[in-house]
Amino acid sequence: MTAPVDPAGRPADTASPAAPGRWRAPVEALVVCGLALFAIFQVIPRQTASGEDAAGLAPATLPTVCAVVIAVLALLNLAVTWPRKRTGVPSPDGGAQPEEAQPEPAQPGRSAPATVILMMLVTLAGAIVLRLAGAAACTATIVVLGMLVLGERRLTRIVPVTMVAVLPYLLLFR
Amino acid sequence: MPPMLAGLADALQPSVVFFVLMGTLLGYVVGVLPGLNRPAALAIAIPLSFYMSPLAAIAFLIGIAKASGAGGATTAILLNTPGEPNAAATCLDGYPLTRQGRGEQALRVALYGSVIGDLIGTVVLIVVALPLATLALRIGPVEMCSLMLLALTFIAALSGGSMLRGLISGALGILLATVGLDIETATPRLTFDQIELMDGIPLLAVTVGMLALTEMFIQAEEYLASRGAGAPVVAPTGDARRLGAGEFRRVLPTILRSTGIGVGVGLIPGLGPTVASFLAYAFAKKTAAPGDRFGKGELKGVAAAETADNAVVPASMIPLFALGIPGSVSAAVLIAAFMIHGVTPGPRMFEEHGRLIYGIYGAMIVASVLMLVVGRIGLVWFARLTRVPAAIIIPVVMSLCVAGAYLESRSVFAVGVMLGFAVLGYLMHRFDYSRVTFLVGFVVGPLFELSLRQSIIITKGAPEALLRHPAALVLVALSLAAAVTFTRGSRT
Repeated sequence: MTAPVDPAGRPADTASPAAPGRWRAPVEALVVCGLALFAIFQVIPRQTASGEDAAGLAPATLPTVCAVVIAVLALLNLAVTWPRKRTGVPSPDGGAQPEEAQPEPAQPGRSAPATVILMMLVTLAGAIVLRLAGAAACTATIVVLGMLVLGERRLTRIVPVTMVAVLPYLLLFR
Repeated sequence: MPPMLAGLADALQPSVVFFVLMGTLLGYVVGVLPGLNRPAALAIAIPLSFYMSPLAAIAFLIGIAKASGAGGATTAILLNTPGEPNAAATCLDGYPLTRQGRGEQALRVALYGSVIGDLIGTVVLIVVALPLATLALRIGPVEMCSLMLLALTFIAALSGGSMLRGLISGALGILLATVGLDIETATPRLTFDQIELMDGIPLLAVTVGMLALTEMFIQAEEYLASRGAGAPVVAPTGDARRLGAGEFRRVLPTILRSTGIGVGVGLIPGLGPTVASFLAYAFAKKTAAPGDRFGKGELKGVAAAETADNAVVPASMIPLFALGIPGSVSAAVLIAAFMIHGVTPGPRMFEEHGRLIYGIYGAMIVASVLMLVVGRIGLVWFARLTRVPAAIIIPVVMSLCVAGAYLESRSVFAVGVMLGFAVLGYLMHRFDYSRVTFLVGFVVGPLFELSLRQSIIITKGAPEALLRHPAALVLVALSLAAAVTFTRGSRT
């Protein structure tokens, strides 16, 4: 079988950097299965009409089937991966291995997850500014804050890049 | 005028050629810039195409898709840093060639291989898509439903590390595609009383969020992780040696074989250019002639990887044009572009938009020619773009993502949706849930539901009625066999 890849074309094993642990598989199954059950019993019944007059599928049928499939597959995934982790056999199905047998994961840098959260907040700030002040201000906010988060402190870079990024909006969407 | 001639004439209109050229230039830039990849660039570029005609818009996006593959070779060969992951196989022989002072030769082989692979792939698309679409029109909803299940199973198996997680992603994609008005009863479904969700979750917001913004989050993480690591050695590139006719004749069989591999890989949903380039490289190495120096600087190695990489792009559009099923994530993004411009990909497209289809074919050939022209003039020049640091690229692309999502509906709601899907995409990346399968599930979801409804009406909900559809039964059996095989294969 050929090596699987992620959308960017990276080999899939590098696309799963989350540190696996002994309890990762059951916790993952619990979360995925729990969300699917929540959808089946709470969200879908409340958010869909009964559709009794539907000739083919009732409106709730396909979403419910999808949620059931997700729950079943999550349990199946647990069954496939967890025993291997407990016996210490490296599982290629998602990289699950026992904690003591873990190779040192590729260090994403101590501040990397925090950086991602900050970048998400920068995007959120951009969306808020977009609502309040328009596209140009939103772009300026994202570019300036984003560069600062990524460690760029030189005004000689921040100012020209921001101006170049904002200029099209000022010209096109005045 | 027949649609074929009218379409080809449309493709040669100055405005269309201009947008193909813009797409080609942008594609080269994307290919060279580390951190930006083909699907992300396509997602960001869709909003730019809002104000273009459907043909110009699709031609623009196809220019990006094609040229980004060719552009990725530049940094792979000169800097040992693939601008796109698909170009990783090119590094294996490209960089050693540069160290031997043959960098320009390698670049030319990569360019010619890319153009030939792309051109032949386009011809195969033109020849195969129409007969396949004609055949697809005879396929009933039961068979279509089974075919989509098979495609999703393959994509789930091949586009992520875990088959089961891939299937979960696909099911989630279909589930979220059901948001909006129910197509049969016209009652709201999973809309949470949000009027913006009546038409479903905005496709562009999902695409940009899942592909482009998620990718920027990942790049930000990787940028910080690699900061301080040694920069790649920039090798001298000042080699004026031309590629002689003898050298070209020597690599031509490799180019043709790799084109076949690329086209074959492109036809199978879920595989992609990275798989194609490594497969072609491995095949070229396995069939090496005595004296070939694979891994130490062999032009055939560069030719194999680059040709297959580029042959995949048009080939992956065959299932898109003929069946409406995207064979790759780039094709899924193109579906979004088609839909935004009022065109639903699938077999009926040939009947309803024949002129547009032939226009797209013409534009694809124009893009191949422009790839050659732009590549000959500026391939080495594009390498200078690698000096642009990620600390600049990432925030600028993020701002483009927000603007793109906003421009579709002039609604901040779409931006919120995009951000939500970017967070979901990042979590899926972290926990190895395939974003490709999710997106394909989301894109084919409405068609799948429609086929399923029609199937239930046709069979009156009786399972035994499926016996009258042996092709569908075979496809379902194949899906199950593939699911079991791939799951067991990943365990052993």
